[in-house]
Amino acid sequence: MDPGIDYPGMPRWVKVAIALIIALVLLAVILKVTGGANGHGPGRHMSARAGR
Amino acid sequence: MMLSTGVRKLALVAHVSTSVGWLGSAAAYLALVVHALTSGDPVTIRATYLVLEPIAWYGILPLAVGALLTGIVSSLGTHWGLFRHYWILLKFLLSILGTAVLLGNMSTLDTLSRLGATATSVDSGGLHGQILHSGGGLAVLLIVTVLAVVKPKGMTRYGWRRTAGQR
Repeated sequence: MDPGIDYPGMPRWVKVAIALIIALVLLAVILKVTGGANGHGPGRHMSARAGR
Repeated sequence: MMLSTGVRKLALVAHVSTSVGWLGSAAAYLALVVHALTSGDPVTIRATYLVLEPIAWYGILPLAVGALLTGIVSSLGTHWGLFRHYWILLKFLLSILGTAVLLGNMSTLDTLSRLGATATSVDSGGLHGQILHSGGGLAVLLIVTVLAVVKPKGMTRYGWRRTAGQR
């Protein structure tokens, strides 16, 4: 890697990693918004018998 | 500002310790949740509802913040820099993401803790989301560990310019 030459650009592994991270973040956001993953959030899991 | 050798080694030891601690505490958290879900025992489930919040607040979160801060010190105080190499930048961003998701989960843990303390009956449903959080967190931390060990090649444009300027 010689800094005297032109910048070679972003390596492929970085592009793949960024794409994977974006996909996972989007998946997490979708699950959060739609309440997927078997009901994300504790409010859904209060038993009818729960006495508060 | 470059750190002296002694301070650099101290920062590195602190960074490795907190990072490994974060990984281990996330694994223990996941094991606890899986155990509660598979046991189906109401007492175990209630106990798990109660302990997840203090584990996250006093165990996982301090380690996460510690790993993040010591990582910043270790990178900025050495020739590695924080924005010069893609693997360091990615590691930094993943650590921020992991800490942010952990903080975002705290309100859920607070609710679970209150349910565990006050409800006459709790089901295991509240723990399903915790599988996703701790499993996802563990996966992210494993990727961070691989990046730290392998140090894949690739300089950012900024790092490339800085290196060229030093020649």
